[in-house]
Amino acid sequence: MQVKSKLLFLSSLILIFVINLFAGSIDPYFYTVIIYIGINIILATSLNLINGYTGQFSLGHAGFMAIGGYLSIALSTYFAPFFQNTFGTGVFGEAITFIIVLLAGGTAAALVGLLVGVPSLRLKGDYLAITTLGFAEIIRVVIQNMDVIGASQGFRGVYIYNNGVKAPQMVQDLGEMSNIFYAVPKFTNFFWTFLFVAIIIYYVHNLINSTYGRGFLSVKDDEIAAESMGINTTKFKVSAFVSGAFFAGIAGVLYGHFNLYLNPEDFNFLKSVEIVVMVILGGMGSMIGVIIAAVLLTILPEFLRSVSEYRMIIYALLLIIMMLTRPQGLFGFKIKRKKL
Amino acid sequence: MRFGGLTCVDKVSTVVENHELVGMIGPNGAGKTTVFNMITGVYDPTEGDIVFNGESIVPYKPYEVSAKGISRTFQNIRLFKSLSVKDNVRVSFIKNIKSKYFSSILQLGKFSREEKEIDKRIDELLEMFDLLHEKDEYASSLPYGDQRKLEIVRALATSPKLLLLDEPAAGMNPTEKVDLMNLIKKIKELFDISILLIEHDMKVVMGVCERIFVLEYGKKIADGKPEEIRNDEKVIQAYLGDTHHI
Amino acid sequence: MSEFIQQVINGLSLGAIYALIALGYTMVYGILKFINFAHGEIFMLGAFSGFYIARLLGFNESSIIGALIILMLSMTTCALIGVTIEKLAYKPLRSASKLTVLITAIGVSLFLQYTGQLVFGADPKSFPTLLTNVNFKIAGANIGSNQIVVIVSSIVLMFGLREIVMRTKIGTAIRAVSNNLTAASLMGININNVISFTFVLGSSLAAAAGILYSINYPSIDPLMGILPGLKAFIAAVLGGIGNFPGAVLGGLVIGLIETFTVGYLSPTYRDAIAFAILIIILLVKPTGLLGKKEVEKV
Repeated sequence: MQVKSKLLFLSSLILIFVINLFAGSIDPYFYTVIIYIGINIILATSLNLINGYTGQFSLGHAGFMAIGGYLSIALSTYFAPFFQNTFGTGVFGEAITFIIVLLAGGTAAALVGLLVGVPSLRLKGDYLAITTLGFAEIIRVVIQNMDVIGASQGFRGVYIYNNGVKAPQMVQDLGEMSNIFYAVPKFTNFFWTFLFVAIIIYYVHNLINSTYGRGFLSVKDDEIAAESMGINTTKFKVSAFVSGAFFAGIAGVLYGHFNLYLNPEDFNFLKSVEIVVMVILGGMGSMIGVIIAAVLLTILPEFLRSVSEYRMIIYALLLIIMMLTRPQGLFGFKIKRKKL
Repeated sequence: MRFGGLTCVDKVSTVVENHELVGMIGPNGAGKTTVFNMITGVYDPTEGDIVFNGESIVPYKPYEVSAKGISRTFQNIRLFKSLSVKDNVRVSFIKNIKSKYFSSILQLGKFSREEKEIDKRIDELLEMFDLLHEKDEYASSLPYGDQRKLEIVRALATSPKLLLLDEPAAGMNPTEKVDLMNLIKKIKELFDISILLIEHDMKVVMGVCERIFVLEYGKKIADGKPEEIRNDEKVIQAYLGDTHHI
Repeated sequence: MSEFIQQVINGLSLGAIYALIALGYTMVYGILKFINFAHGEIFMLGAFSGFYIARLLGFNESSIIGALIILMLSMTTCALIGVTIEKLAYKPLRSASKLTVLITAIGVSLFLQYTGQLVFGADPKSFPTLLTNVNFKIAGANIGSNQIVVIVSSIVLMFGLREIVMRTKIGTAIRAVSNNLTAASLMGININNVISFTFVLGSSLAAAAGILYSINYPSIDPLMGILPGLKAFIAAVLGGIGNFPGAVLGGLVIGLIETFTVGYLSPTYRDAIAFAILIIILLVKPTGLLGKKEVEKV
């Protein structure tokens, strides 16, 4: 069982690497959809660890994605000369740069997750939901007010002058100063995206199926009983929250270095809801279900492009109908209770 | 212990000795479960002290109390209902395992050996309580009596020195009750622990407990050997009323 | 000083609107113990029903009677909508987990927002001038008559609610149910009626808030309910959820803090400040300013 999961992980890494070699021949439109599928799987699976397995309903996942995304594109633009001089501009140098940027984005999100999680995870249910929503909104408003990362106009890159003074400008006046404009580099590709998809699946799967990981489920089922059996429920909740935030940060980094432009509105309440819908549709605490839901909900809007005004209505109805008919999710399983 | 203006448990003091099986009885609302909640840190007593192995455990949180070696069952069964029988017991091993967060993900070091060891111990415990055949069922799908037994197994799996049982035989018929009490007595010997149990049925408690103390309206009204309690006027009157005789 | 008075009046008229919405949150939470996320959308629907009713009645010049009729009709409309939502979406979930209900409420909220965009159009509409605003000066502060209208109407509505809740039979039933739902139902109170009536009260207050808000800020759009809804919820938590005077106090405090933030700090932080207040209150005194502590029974 354990040897099998390790083997599976390693072989999937090889597969991802091989597919990446042929990625150039994939139609650009499909390629984009595939990358977004990957990013959404990371987001949904990481939120599933918090909402699904640990039972702590967070409504602010987009906030952590924003932290990772913004911090990383700021790093890879402001420090572009440094990275280029130190690691070079070859495939290998870019890989090292991206690993640094990814870890920085993930770690920053995790730290903010810790900061948010420690106080707010004392709360339960709807209070926790609304507090995490509040934190995400605060993060967004703060970004909106930060000129160094483009404030409400969004961020594409920076001008770095020869005398070392850095000034973020909008891309419109690129023409005359293009020689010193550092745009967000397009680091994200199939390999990096699905490397992290594989990592998070392996991570959550192994964690949840270990003895230690069963602690998360016990917290979800009954906190008082879990505490009485020696589970430090706060520690479990916070660690789920922090690792969920880490991977949301990673997803933000991947998104930023693929889209090459970030706007605070990309990370509003609706983005958080979208991730929550994936988790709920898939079935809270069902790994496969959530992955399928992430894939479906990434593809669905593509089909609905002509009727995009219906998209949110469909999401809303999905939520309501799911809750009324199958609260355990499309792919979740219901626990039958024997009559006493 | 006070809730708002209500004093629920007032000046109760007793001592549970090593390897002793003590019964706590009293009418409904006497504060028995509140005593358990105070010992295990679910509620903090408003006044007074609780000492375990020479150390005050009042400031500790429930999981810390559990780490000190006190475990409990719940009157209104609180099993982990989305977990299997086996995993309900597994959770109790977490506090003592070496493979924590990252070593569980990376499956490092002693991880595999430890998991196997835990599996083995879970099976042994379930076997002892005749629950092994149901180990893969959801805890919530077990028959009532088995759920009560599973609560005891789960508590025992934390390797306690003191086990608190809150009406372990509630809802069972008299024969089942006697069987369970004998099992509890056996556990005490086998695991070399002290047990404090709450029970409504006087007969059952009289049969197994070495000592009994009686609560009424949050106050201790008697404390002694079963035969002393049986003949205590105050207990007979307060707890049983005039119509009952043992 | 005159600016200060001006800010206080602005804050109170905004806070009165938050207070009206917050009362609905508090009532529903008191009884069903869940955040009716869609409550902000009832506020939005109040504004839109006012808009369409005015158009339907051929309302075109400002008059007090006309304004009152529109207010009453849109309160009735929203009361019906509120009860319908309760019956369709929440009632089947009476025994479901809190999380299930919360998610449903988020769904209902999104559904109303985006159906609103489809039906009313996403672009802002301009709300008719129900009452002509007359500006006058008090101690150098510029005060609009409509601000006074908002404050006075809110006070009247709040007293109306108070009378209903404290003096009528159904009001007593509401208090009984929010104290202990099971016990109240065992005493023969028809829980479903009480819940429906709670939604009637809450939704009509939200509708009134929508109209009053639109009198002062006449640009209305289908997403207009999100932020006032969230802020009113925060107001309810701040005052102590389930507590009526608390909801009013919370609404006023949030309104004042918001206008002061805009006036003296920076307008860009106006929406973040409410969340900051929420986080602080939940961490420092989760029961709110006027709330009581409850112990979880084990």
